[in-house]
Amino acid sequence: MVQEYKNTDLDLFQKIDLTNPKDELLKKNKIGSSQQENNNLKFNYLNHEISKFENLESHLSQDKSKKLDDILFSQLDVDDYASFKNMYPHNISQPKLNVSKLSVKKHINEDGTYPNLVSKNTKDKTSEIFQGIYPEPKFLPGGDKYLLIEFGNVMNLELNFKAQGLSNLIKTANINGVYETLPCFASMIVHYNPDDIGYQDLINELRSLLKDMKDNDDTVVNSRLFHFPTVYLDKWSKEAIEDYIAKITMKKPDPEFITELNQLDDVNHFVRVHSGTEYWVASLGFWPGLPFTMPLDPRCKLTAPKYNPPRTWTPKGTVGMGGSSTAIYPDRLPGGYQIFGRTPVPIWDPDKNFDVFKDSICLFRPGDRIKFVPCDYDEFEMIEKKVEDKSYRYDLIEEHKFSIKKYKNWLSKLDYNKKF
Amino acid sequence: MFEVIKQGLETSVQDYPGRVGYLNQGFPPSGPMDSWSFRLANLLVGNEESFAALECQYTGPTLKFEKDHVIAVCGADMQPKINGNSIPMWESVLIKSGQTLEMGFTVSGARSYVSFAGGIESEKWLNSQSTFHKAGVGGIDGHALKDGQRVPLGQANGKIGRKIRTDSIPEISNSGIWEIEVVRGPNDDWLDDEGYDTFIKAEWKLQARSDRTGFRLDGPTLSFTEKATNKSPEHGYEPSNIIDQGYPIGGINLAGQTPIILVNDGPSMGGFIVPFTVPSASFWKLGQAKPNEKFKFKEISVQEAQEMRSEQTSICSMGSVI
Repeated sequence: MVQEYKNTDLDLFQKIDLTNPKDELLKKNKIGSSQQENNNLKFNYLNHEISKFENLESHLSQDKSKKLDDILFSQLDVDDYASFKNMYPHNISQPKLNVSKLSVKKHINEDGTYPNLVSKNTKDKTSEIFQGIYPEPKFLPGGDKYLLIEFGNVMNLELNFKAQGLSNLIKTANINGVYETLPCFASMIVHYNPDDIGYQDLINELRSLLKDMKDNDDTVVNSRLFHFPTVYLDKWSKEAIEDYIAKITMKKPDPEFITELNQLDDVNHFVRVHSGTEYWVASLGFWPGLPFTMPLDPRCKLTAPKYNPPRTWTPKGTVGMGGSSTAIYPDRLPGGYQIFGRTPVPIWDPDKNFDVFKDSICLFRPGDRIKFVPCDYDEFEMIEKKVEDKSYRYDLIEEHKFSIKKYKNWLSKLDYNKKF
Repeated sequence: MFEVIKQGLETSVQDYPGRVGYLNQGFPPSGPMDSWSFRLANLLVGNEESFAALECQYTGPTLKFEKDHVIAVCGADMQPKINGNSIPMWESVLIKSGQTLEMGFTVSGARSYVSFAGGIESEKWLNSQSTFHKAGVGGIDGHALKDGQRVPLGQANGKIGRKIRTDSIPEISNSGIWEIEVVRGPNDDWLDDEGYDTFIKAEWKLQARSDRTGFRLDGPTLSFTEKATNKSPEHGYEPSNIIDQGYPIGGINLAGQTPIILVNDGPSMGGFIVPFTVPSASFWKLGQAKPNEKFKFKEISVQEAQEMRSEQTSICSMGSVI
């Protein structure tokens, strides 16, 4: 499962020295000099960013408030910060956050930095991976037409197998009144018609399906494996990060930020770890076709917080991560994940230019796997041309079966001292 | 066929109930925000309630017709006129070939619906004609109507002079305060008792920058339970962060400290808690609320929400057409 690491354009990524005030990126940044000193390396997410953002917001609203039409409604444009905020909102317009009351200190250090994310003992990861499952799933109402089933409260594969397994059973069982399901990492949404089935009856039906559900370990699922040529530490995501730093707020460049938080040697080490595993497509959402994926090799599990505030644009095909999830941006979109790579291969195609889209305009299905294969700019451009003239052939293996028992067996034999 | 003379602020093709069944690929349902007015508009011109019609937001369009058509206007009052003469709302009327339907800025409510006997003829995209602006799909070329476009209409013989019974018309209030029903959950146990009380007792102001993806609210700060603050790091660093989960349409998403009601074009998944959900029967109020108006929330049970829904379904039937 672990594949060899290929050379990539690591040198192209210009390291940014945040302690050097002459650095280009810092010059662009409009933070006052006193704040700059304090925040060169520490990121205070609770104070100065909020006030900076407020200024930006009022600046934008001044520009926009001249015409009534614009205040009331503006057509969504992902490059337009104001309208973007509706789409991917955040808390920054509410500066009166009472930190002590919220006791966020467990998640953000008192000086505003992030706590260390890596447990000292890497062996913890073996036991961690199958923890946090509730003995009984929780059934939670979402208004009159939706039900949320929560299987646990951690992000792990077992929970996603459960969610995908139950989703498949619901499809097969063809319960009257159930429109659709949306399995996610640790939970699943069921969309139903209350005219056909009551809330309690639906829960009873789902409980009985869960009872009949085979032990997860025996589950074998069809799982396609896609290889995605990816330029890591690429110029395009770097440009998006620089633009964010210049226009919105200072932050450490994403690859270095992840490297530091996860206690890796350097960005090259980060690339080796990130590309050293296959990723399991847990769910599609937020944007049509956008895959939320998790690393199958626990040794490659990295963690990173999301942007705060989010980015206004991300290049199409950018690879990024937030929490422990990796995603590919199907289009030029706003976003909150830390970004560090780009693939030329489209993952959604409304025009259905390629065979793989004949069943759906979205490439992925839950249960697929993705392997990011580091490539250089030449290869990227070659593939990009093939995509343009529609001659590109997706690098995928269709017939794979994924056995959870075999997977667990593989996990138990892993060398946790291996260095990527 | 009609020609778009003035596009209005945002006039889009929607059908009912929209693009259902594609949540797991990341598509929200879209469809009309005030489906009560929308369905009645369709019934007036003799259509099925599901037919594609226009949703006009805040300022309506000006449309020139190339053939005789039976149409109806329901929802927000944008003072519709045909060739300069006011026409009644909640009633089917005839517009003749060469005549112009003109709608202005709303005097009551936020969204007006124009239905056409035979519906709008546009290509279905994933089984629905509803416009989903964010991804540029559905409707006419994936976006709101634009000046100069010509939009084909279906052919059907509607009857003119059909009206909606007065007691079946949603009461669009101009008081500036809306009482909006909410159902607790799915993540209500992330707010503590004080947070819950604050949410229910507060008057929330609808922010100007609210649209078909989300309604942002201004109001007090909410407090959390241990669940929000003592959790594994993959949930995220804010108290309102949760491991990415599917969102119910109508979910009141707590993004940091800003509640955002996820409406018809909202994201299907994300990493913020949803302590309350606006049930489908109350969506028409969201559709008709204007920025800077106030929301007061009233908690109801799942069962009550489902009863409201059936009640609304029975109102949106031919029994209401006279």
